[in-house]
Amino acid sequence: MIYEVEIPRTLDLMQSVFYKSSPIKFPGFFLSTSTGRSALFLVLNYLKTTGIIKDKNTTILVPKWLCISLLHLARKHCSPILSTDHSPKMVLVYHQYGFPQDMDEIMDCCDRKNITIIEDCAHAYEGYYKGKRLGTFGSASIFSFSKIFPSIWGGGLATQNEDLYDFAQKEQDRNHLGWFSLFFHLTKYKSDKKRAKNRSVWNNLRDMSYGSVESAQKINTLSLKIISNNFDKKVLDQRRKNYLFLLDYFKNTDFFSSLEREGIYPYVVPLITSEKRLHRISEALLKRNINTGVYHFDINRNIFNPVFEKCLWVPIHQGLSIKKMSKICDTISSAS
Amino acid sequence: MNNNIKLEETFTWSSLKRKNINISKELFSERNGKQVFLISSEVAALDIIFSYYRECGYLKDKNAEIWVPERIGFRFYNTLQKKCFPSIVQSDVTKGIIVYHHYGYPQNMDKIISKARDNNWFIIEDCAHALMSYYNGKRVGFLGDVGIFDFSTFFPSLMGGAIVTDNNEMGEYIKDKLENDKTWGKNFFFIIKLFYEKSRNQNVKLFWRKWGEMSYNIYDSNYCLNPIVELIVKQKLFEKALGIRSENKDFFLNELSHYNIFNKINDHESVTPYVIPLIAEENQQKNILRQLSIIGVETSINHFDVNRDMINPNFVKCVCIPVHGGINQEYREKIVEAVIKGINCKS
Repeated sequence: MIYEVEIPRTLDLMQSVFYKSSPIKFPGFFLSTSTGRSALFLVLNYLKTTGIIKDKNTTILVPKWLCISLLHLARKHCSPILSTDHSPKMVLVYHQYGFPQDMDEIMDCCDRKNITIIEDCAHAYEGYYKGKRLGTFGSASIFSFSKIFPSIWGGGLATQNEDLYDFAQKEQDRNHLGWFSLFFHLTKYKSDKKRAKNRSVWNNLRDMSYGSVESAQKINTLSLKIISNNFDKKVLDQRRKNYLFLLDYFKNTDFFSSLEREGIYPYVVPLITSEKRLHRISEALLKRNINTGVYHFDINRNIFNPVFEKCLWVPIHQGLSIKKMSKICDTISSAS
Repeated sequence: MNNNIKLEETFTWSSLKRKNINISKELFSERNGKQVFLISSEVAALDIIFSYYRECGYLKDKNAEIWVPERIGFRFYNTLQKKCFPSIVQSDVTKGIIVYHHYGYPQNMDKIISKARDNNWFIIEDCAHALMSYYNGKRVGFLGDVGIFDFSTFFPSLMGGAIVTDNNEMGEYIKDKLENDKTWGKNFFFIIKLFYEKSRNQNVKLFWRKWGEMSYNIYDSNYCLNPIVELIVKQKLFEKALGIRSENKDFFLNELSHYNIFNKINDHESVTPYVIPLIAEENQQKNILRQLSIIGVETSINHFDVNRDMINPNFVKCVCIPVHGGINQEYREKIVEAVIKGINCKS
């Protein structure tokens, strides 16, 4: 089965023990965390100390269709809202699938209304908006490496603010619980293994561990090694190659016409067409063991004025060779 | 008494014998044609209700907004979030409203019902703290489309709750869910909560607390009432725990009536509260808190909406005074003494 992410193989994980890890590089200050959620926990905790989050009723504008566990975590500190009629104190700008939001419009709006920006770069470790790196626009940005690399775990926090970085380091030490971290990592590993026995039990245990995810703060050594190794192997270039291959294959259709070519290293590629056709393509892909589904993508790329359209995920991760990409493209083409 | 007094009565195994009591009849005698379902917890009740609204198409997807009160608990919020989008602000796409009768004191239901009907919203009454409260002579929890109740806030049952509704279709849906619930969770969660309650060592307690926090993430997916919880609730109903709670409330109101600390609320007599919110000057509240802590009462300064109107709330700080059935005459007097000391303390 081909999934939207590269599934780690046990042998690869074992070999990873011998990899050399190196710190993750990002412009400004960067702190590795166990997950993107734990990074968000640190950012929101910091915003509490600065008075931006006064109490749990302080509002944060979030995009529609955001992952529940992020919302749960946010609610421990503040109140997520969807409505843009009320001026929020903070905004979580989500570069969905790695495609940048309209940062000019968003920055302008946030400057006028004094709104703090947190960038959710879970899908966009590397991505650019008008030549500027995603994750460098807001007060802080959060990352999730397990979406990009087969590392199972791993996240990060980037900021230009040294105070925030210092605070996050201390807070990370204070909140980290070793045994919980082990439990969290084990459940996530077992539930991510698509062929694991009793997967529902592992899924339940993983969901349980998400309830206290802020207690697993520090990045797992193995994950850091896998991430470092993937950076060394320049796997993101393969991801980009697959993306461009897909765009070129369908250049005579309007499936991907709204997507830019340059500066993008996507998590998955949203295919947009009529709903009927989306379901037809989805069925065809599933029949050929290519995991996908119909989701929603903000074609306006503006959290303050979003326009969500139904889309289909097309996987393009680095584990897919050009031959496999051809198979995916042929399937889409014949089903459409 | 060596043990500390918490806001809720502590669970004990003592005198836990089978009592021939029908919980539904005993607690919801004035049902007036409404259906009552006993359920594993309040959040499970919430999960079933919102699953119903999703499945019948009233809530289209998880972005359908539900207006919730400020300061709503995050466990409650998390459960809602799985089915809809709870928001503390109302918007054009709001589909329903959750009314929270904080500490058991009813919200201004006339105003809220009128607004909800004007906007075609459904009303869910969160009666976690209002197991036996009345609003203009009508039972709280019976005024909206659905009422959800929590037993663990009133009895030392650790879990347990109920749903009251007059929506027959929803009733059938709930019945079906309860009949087909074969999950193991209700026992698992009970055991975790029990271990947490009974742990003496702080580190062990922390360990079980973490498990408790984790378990809340899937707490809502188990619907049937745990049999031990049922036994405890029956036992407490047999012991007239709600009556004792009312007696304790009356005692505090009478003994402290000179101090103007409860007079922001004018309907004490129609309420069997979870706790009584004591509203005083901020420094007095701190002193009261200190005095209560000296005699072993575990409480804190919280917020209470004195307007009792989620459309136009006015939250003020308050100290929660416990009134549960585990407080005996000796401790009631000690609490009164501590409160008076706190009010009169100059620092």
